[in-house]
Order: sequence, then C-alpha cells, then structure tokens
Amino acid sequence: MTMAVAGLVLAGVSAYAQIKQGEATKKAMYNKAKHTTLAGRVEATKAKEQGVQVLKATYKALSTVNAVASAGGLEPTLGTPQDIGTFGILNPGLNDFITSKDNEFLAISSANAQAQDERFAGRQAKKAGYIGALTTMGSAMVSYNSIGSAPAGGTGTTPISNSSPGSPGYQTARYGNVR
Amino acid sequence: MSRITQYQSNFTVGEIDPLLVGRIDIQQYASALSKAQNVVILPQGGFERRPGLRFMADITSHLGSFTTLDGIRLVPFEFSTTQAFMLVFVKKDTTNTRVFFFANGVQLLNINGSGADYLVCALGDIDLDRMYFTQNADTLILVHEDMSPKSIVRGANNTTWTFSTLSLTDPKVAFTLATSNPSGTITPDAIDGTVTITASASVFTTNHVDQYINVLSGFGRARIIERESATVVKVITELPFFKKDQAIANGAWELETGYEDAWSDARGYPRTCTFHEGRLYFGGSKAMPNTLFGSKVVDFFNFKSAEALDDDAILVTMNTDSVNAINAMRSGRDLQIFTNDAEFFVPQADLDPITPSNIVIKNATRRGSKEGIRPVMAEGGTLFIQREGKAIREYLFSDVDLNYQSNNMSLLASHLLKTPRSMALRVATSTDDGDLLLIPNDDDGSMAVFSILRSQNVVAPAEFITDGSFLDVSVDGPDIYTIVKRTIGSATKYYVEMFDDQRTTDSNIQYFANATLPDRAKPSNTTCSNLAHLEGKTVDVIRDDFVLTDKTVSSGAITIDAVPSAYVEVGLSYAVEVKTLPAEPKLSSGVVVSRKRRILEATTLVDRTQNLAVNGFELPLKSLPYTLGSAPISFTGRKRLAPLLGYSDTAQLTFTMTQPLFATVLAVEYKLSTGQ
Repeated sequence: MTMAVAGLVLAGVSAYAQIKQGEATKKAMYNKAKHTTLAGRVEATKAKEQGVQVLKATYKALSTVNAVASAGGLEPTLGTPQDIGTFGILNPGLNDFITSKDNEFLAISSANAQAQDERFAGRQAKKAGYIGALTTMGSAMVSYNSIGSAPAGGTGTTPISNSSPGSPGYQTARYGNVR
Repeated sequence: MSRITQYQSNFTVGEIDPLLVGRIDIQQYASALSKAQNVVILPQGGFERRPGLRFMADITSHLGSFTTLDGIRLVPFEFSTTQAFMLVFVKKDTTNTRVFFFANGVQLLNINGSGADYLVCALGDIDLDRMYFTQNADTLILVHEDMSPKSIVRGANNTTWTFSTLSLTDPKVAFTLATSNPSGTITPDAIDGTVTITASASVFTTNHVDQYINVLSGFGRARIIERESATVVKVITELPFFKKDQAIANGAWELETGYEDAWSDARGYPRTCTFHEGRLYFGGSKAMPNTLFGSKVVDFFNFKSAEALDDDAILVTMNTDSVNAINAMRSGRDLQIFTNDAEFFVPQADLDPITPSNIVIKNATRRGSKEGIRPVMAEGGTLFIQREGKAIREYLFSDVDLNYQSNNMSLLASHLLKTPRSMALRVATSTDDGDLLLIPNDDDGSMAVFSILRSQNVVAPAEFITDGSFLDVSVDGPDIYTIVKRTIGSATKYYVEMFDDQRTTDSNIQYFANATLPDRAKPSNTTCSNLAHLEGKTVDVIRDDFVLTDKTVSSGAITIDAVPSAYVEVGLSYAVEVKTLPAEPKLSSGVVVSRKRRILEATTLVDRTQNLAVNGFELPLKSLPYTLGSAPISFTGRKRLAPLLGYSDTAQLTFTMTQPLFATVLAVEYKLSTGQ
C-alpha cells in the first residue's frame, strides 16, 4: 500500500514536472518567436536603411550628373543629360530601392512565419506536457489499483518493476487485470 | 640729298590695310604691298598674274526671280580620289532647284538619261546661301532650317544621281509640355521594361504614342510606345513602377503630353551637319538653335534617344549665357562647333569616343562666326569668318593652353574683307604654291585671296577683280570654280567659270584640237564663233601666243587676223596692278616719311615673264636683235629700268601688265633719292 501511494505520489510529481516542462518550453518558444520577430524587424530595418541609402546615393549621383552636365556646358534637364539621369541613375536606383523594399517585406514576413512556427511549437510542447502528465497519472492510477492482487495465472512473486514493457509477463499482468 | 639702294626680296605680307601705311616700324612693312590686284603671292616670295577664268556654263536661264545671294550655290562633292565633282545649285522657283554637275573642268550632260543637263531637286523655297552640307561616301546631305534634310546620291556612274528626302527617326522634344489627369485607375503588369498598362476607363488615344505616363504617388514614368486600345497601352519604363498588378489610383497618375518630332515644318529643321566618328551630327535647328543632335553610331539617320547607352543617339543643348545659335560645325581634331557668339568643341580624352555619358561642350573662344559661311580646314586649323565678316580667324588647338585659340589671320588686310559671302580653300597642289584661301565679297564683287604657308608664317592677301562680280567660289580638288555675275549687253548673266592657270583672260574659251565643250575646235578659218556669252564685249585675243588687237564680239563671233596653227584664246581682259609701299630706307639719320623721294631706277627680277610694266614703262623683255612678228618670249632674269623721273611724297613702284600674258615677279631693287 505504501509502495502504491508512493508510486502515485511519484507519478503526480512526474506529471507536474511534465506540465511545468511543457509550459516552460512554450514560454521559451514564445520568447524565441519574439526574438525571431525582432530579428526580422532588424533585418527589415536594415533593408529599409539600405533602401534609404540607395535613394541617397541616387540623389547624390543625380546631382553629380546635373553638375557635370552644367559644367560641361549642357542643359541638364533636356535630352541626353536627362536620359543619363533617368536611365543611368534613377532607374537602377529605384529598382534597387524596390529590391530593398522587397527585402524589408521578406524579412518581416519570413520572421513572422518563423515566429508563428515557434509559437506553435511552444503550444505543442505545452500540450505535450499536459498529455504526458495525464498519461503518467493514468498509468500511476492503474498501477495503484493493481498492486496487491495476484496476476491471473501468475506466481504473485514477480515484481512489476522488473517487467519490461512488452515482455510476456507485462502483457499478461496488464491485460490479465483488465480482463 | 642721299641715294640709297633698296631691295625688296619678297612680297609675302601681300596687300596690307591702308591703315597700316604709317607702320614703318613693323617687320612686315618691308615685305608688304599697298596694292596687289589680280596677282597671287607665291610662298617663295614673288607674285604672279592670277589665272584666267575659263567659261564653263551660262546658268542665267535656270535662275528664277531670286536674288543671287540666295539663288546660286556651289557645293563640292568628292566621291573618290579620282572622282570629284562640283555641284552648282540654281534655284529655279520656290519648289525646285536645278543642280548642274561638273567634273575635272567639264560639265556632265544628260543627267540620269533625262536629256536635261541638270537634276531637279525639290528643295523648296530656301535661300541657298544658308544651306549647309556634308558628305559621306556617295551621299551628299543637305540641310537648311526651312527644309526637311535631303540627300543627293551618286549612282553607278558620273551622270547618275538620285535626289531624295532623308527618312529620319526624329528625336522627341516637348516644346509645350502639358499634363492631364484622366479619370480611372491604371494597372501595370510589370514594374520595369516593356510593360502593358490597363486602364479602368477609356483614356488612351493614338496621339498618346510617344507621350508619357507619370505616377504621382510613389514613382514610375513610362513612354507609351503602342496603343492597343483605349484602355490598354504598351509602355517602356524610364522609371520603374513600384508594384505590378496593383492598380494606381485615380488621381495618383497623369498623362504628360506635348512631345513631338524635334524637326517639322512647324518647328523647323537642322541648320548644320557633319559626320564625326561614326555619327551624323546636326547642329541646331530653327526651334532649337543651340542644340546638338547626334545620331546613333553607324545608324546615321536614327536620332531618337533610347537608354543613353554608349552608341545611342545624343541630344544636348548648350547652356550658356547667350543664345549661341550653331552656324557651322567641322569634324577635325575634335568636333568643332561655331555659333553666332562663340566657338566650342567637344573634348575627347585620347581615343575615347563621344558617348551620351561623357559628352560635354566646352567654350573655347568668344568671337562668333558668320552664318552661311562654312569654315574650312587649313593645316590642322580651321579657318572661319568672324561674325561681322571683318576678320578671318584660325581656330587652332594649343598644346600649351590645352584649348583652342582663334587667332586673327587677316589683321594686316582686313580691308579686303568687305561683305564675305563664302569661303573656299584650295590646298597647295605643288611645292611652288601655297594654300589659296578665296573669299568673294558681296558689295563690290571682288574676291579676297590669301596665299597661305603656315609653316613659314606666310599669309599673303591679294584681291581679284573681274569684269563683273564674284558671287561664290568653291574648290574641287585642284580646281577652283566660281560663279560670276557679268553684264553682257544690258543683260545680267550668271556664269560658272573655273580658274585655269594656263589662261590669261576671263570668261574665256579656247579653240584647239580635241577641245571639250565649252572650248571649241580650232577654226579652219579666221572666224571664232560660239562666243554668245561675250556678245558685245571687247575681248582680248591670243592666237598662238600672239596678242592680237582687241576685238568686239558680234553675233557670237570675232574675226582674227590669221588662221591659228595651235590655239586661240578669247576672253575678257583683267587688270593687274601691284604697288609697293612708300619707300622707307630707315636711314641712320632717321626716317624719311616727310621728305620728297624719287626712285631713280628699278631692277626687277622676273621668272618666265612675257609682259610687265613698271611705273607705266613696259619692260623690254625681248633681246636684240628683234625678230619682227615673233611671239613674245618668256624671260627669266633681271631687267633694269632707268631713269625714272619725278619726286613724290611716297616713291612707290607700280607693276602692271599691258597684255594678257604671263608674268612672275620675284623681287625688285631700286635706287632711292631722298630730298631734305
């Protein structure tokens, strides 16, 4: 009787531990998700910064084109100097800016997706903890009820703890009781 | 009273401006002349009678009722090293211009097998003196700000020519820019490149091709290249759209319109042209006088801008503090641009080509060039007439300054430049002549002629005159063609004539065996006919080197004294006159400017000379004993003439010719007596 209670208590402790571990895992995964989100935002910020730099560089290059054209005796807002500004500076600059905006979006959405996965994993871990605890307690309860009665067809001297799962003795003991 | 022997060894400064007659202090004084009429200064130092003018064609009947300034134009065309042509443009009416062709001193007849001796070119109502041209291989390109660019192409042979309007791909320019905000959204199907744009409402018309769509909120700019329907167009982006397949809201985009061909009847056409390093350049247009248009490389007629790649077309407008309408261009060491206010060039480093990304136009000098006069190349430099027409300037690159300079070449003889109409340079054809720069003047019909040998600092001006007016001049290889206006009877005639250094009269024809028109076969009697172009004129006649008494042309013929054995030349006389500057011996005791002076005797060094008079006295060139009735000889050596009488304020020698023969004066020595 004492052994059975002790087993029950131990199972309770174990179940509690499993629950706590699941909750801890969930918390950890949520924290990780937060970090992932933050990391994504950092990447997005970097991409945004890159976009800003691209625009600055474009603006600077455009001003150079204007200055060079003017220094070269040309009207910068007409014809070829304008084409140089448009096709040589603005077009690639804006394409780079679009790319950086895409990168910004990708960084955030990718981080969000990963964070969502991590949160899901955390929730799963917590759920697994509860399930594990429930299973442990269930098993303990079963064991508690079966301690003291001889197994059907058995000698009564074979300790349960020595029965390895899947062994004929275990099978017999378990199913013999159920039946 | 002192007597000094003076020796003028050369005349290589030529005729100098009367304003310089007091400048006895300058080095050039000793080599200058106060008058050099109808002579050519030789780079070796002497001078010779100018060549006579060979009559080539009478174009009077082809000239409509236009002033000669805008109705006639000479244009050279060099097809190959052996095939060079002179094209004579004659404006028949406000639609058609007739073009006559000459080669090697002969008029080409039956052009294109038409039976006509000219090509009809529909140039429209343009003034030919402002027409500009350039040539590449078999194609001559003609531009004028009031005419769509044309071409004349030489065909399979010398008498096959094709005239056509150039098919150009014009650049697009917004002369009056306008924007509008059509209702509806637009949706691009891609962000960059060739994009299809679909509008939510019918907004696009066929007029929108080559116009622009701008995104106002965000960015995006695209040129419409094709209209598929009222709601769908294809565009090429200049700036990418931000999102594809995302509608751009109503009001967040606009149509930018106003772009049109840079050249049209309304906006005018290119003013000048030249080929340079694989591009055809047009300099200025009527509406954009200070804009330089460059074609795509080796795609000479494509001027439409694309993506500003290295071989793409170029369109740049000079941004200066004055209008700077481009008057002329020349492909030389650099692409040189001459405007009404200043001179520019497109600098290139080493062998770098001109590209859209590196083109700049640098201002070099601020003189301005005269419109309608093409600059000419001369020994590495470019000669141009300054804006007011009073100076010839040499646009020459200075390795010291790393820039061009515009030096005044005509400083000592600007009086010969009155109202220049055109300019031509005959490059030296042998070691005994220099380059010959010819500039006809409008107001008196004279022609300023500069003998140039830059390596020896020879720039020797003289003046050509004729019985009539020089209107235009141009050079085809060694041949110098000119248009001369003459009064025949009471009628004004326009003749194409060519300088011929084997002849000594103007508007002449010769009669000899195997002659080519308009020269004639040697007559078998004493009648020289086919002289209708000199009807009523008193003419010089040279038969077999004998100078006959003057004749008057009647019914297109003259009668001479005997049947010629070799040739007869009949033409108009022209007066040769060369006058030295007032003698100034620069004595140690001082100058003699204020003293009376007398030239006691003169000894003239001549070369192959048949006739010459000094101070009105004809030099006896024949040696004793005379053979009566013999032809004049060509004398080489020195001839002394003495005594010469009379004191004067200036003491000058005047060389003239009494007969239409050859003369070359190398130098002159004279004894001078000065009074107190």
